[in-house]
Amino acid sequence: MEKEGYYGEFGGAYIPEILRPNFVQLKEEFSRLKEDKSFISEYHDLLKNFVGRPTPLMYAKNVSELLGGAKIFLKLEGLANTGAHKINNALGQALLAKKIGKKKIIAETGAGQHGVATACACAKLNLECEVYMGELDVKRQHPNVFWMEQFGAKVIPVKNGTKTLKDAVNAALREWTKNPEETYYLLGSAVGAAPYPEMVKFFQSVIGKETKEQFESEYGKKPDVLIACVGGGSNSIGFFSHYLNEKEVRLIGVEAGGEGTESGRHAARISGNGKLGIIQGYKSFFLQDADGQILPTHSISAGLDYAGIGPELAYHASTGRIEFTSATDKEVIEAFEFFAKKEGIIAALESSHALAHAIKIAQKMNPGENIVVNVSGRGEKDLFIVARAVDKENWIEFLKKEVIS
Amino acid sequence: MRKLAEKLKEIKNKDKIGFMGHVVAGYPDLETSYEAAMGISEGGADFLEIQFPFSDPFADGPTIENASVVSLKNGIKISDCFDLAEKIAKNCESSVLIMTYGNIAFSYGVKNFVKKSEEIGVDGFIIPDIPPENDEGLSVLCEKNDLSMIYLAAPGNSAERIEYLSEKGNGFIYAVARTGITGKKTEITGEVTEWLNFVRKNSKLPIAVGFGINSSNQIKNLKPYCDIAIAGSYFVREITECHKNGDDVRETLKTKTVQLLNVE
Ligand SMILES: Cc1ncc(COP(=O)(O)O)c(C=O)c1O
Repeated sequence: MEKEGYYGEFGGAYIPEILRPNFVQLKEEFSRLKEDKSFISEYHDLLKNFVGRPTPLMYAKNVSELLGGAKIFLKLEGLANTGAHKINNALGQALLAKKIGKKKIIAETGAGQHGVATACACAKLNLECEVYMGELDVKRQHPNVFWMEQFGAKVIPVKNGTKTLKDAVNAALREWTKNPEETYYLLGSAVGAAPYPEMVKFFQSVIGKETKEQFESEYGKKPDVLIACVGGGSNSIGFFSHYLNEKEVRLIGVEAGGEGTESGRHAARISGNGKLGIIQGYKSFFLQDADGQILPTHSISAGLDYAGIGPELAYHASTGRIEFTSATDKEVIEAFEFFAKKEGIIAALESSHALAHAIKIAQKMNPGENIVVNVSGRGEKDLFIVARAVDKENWIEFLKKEVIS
Repeated sequence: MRKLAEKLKEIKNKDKIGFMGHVVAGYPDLETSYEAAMGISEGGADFLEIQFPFSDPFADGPTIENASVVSLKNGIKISDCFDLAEKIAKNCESSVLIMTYGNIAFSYGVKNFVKKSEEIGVDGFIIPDIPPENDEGLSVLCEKNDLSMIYLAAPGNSAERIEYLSEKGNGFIYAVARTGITGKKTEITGEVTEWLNFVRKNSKLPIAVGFGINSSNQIKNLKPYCDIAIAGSYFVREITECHKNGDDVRETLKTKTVQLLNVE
């Protein structure tokens, strides 16, 4: 039998003893509440009336016809409250925290998407919220800092280490050990020590459940291919969850190819050159140097800019059940513009990785076949990056005027 | 007999409190970390913890985290760390332990990591993110090579857990004195002594206490409750200060250590 918390050789809980009591409690409470009918019904009620679920499954007719291959469908997670799938997990864990009597939520955030979702969930559930964010990210991502504060959260700039996401994780964990009775650590992706990967998947599997119901009731069969972008892996594992055992459905994860996997500036752990390692509590593939030090990563999308990948995805990569590939920054911007112009969908840059790959393979498939892409978020948050990439002069002109007025 | 066992015996026979000092390899540079380690040893440390820097030291406080970042920025490699540990182990009286994170050993190959350590005269390991149930084979390898795997115990651990940690570990058990992370001042309060009594009752190994120690008074007060006192961040701060002021690191650290250990 598999060891608890492992997926094949991946996963586990490599945590300091000082965090162990927190994890023991978390594991017990999660196993209990995931079977608790009233907890689940309260969660579903919030998903429906607060998040706005189910999110639509849309046939991208114009794009499919233009490409002349397989039909492309889009699962529009960007229409969820706060604009991305992140809220499914943030709300689920925040509700769990509230049920087990925690008063304060702490979270890490990189670009700020998970921070915004967490701050939003805490506002709704009346919980105090502290978000740890690397000092560099605080400077780069001011709009998200602004939204977190509007939700009443306290954003704490982390000045240690490299002042980015991983240092924010360290700072949040440190805070958690200081006050384990009152605080709850709300991790934002399907990574970290057990039981986080399982728990995050549990709350994100609503995406997969809806997709299956929507697609099969509408078209009376299974889709041929599912595609999702992969940062830590929460939207992809949630989206794939209901098809993992249906081998005839191809599952494809798209990582951040950055400036190309040969360039060294990317975040492709599986499709690039990640190595097996044990970092931040779990065993999986990480971008690391020969000594085992984590390497800096790059992606045009902040949400995919992370050196590790969730253990369950690493496992499915090792068995071949999930295929992995990457899309470059350039391909991503092209896909972004294509779907905006032809379908009226502004996809998040993260999600545009999945769209870029759909464009590539749809053309090689026939019109009787179907691809479903998880559009994990909407792209309004990426205004500053996209505008700079596609309309630099006008954009900078505008920013200058804003400063003067 | 390895130095570690000798030191433990000596501590017991002399009825004294043992002491472990700490340096981050390559902080602020290799030479200075060597001199500092030698100074701490000459000041009377029974054990020296040499931290191999890791990019994500999530069980450390900001002081050690920042020192690790500096060391890595200087381009320190694990091979440099081993060379440093070898030089220290060869030239000083203290028993030398490697403190690092799981991925450093894992990436090197745990078997090679243990073998290399044994060869250069290191006595054991402190790896806070490697719990005994997921130890990647380290405990068995250590046993085979007569090295010590030192496990940490923390407030919130049950009696059974402490017993288990002390059975799986070897040499001594490293009790964290406070809920929190390295580097903040620890008051020797009733809470701390109660916790240490609890560890004492359930551990089959001698007890080392760390996290936040920075004065001889604290060490004096700890003596009835433990066997070894550990100072970590304290030394990193002293080394930083010393380096900044251009003082003789070895002499200064020796003096600081003598002062810390002046517990009579
Ligand atoms: C819209 C969107 N998609 C995808 C991701 C990547 O994360 P994950 O792989 O956990 O879904 C993020 C992360 O911030 C995101 O904001």
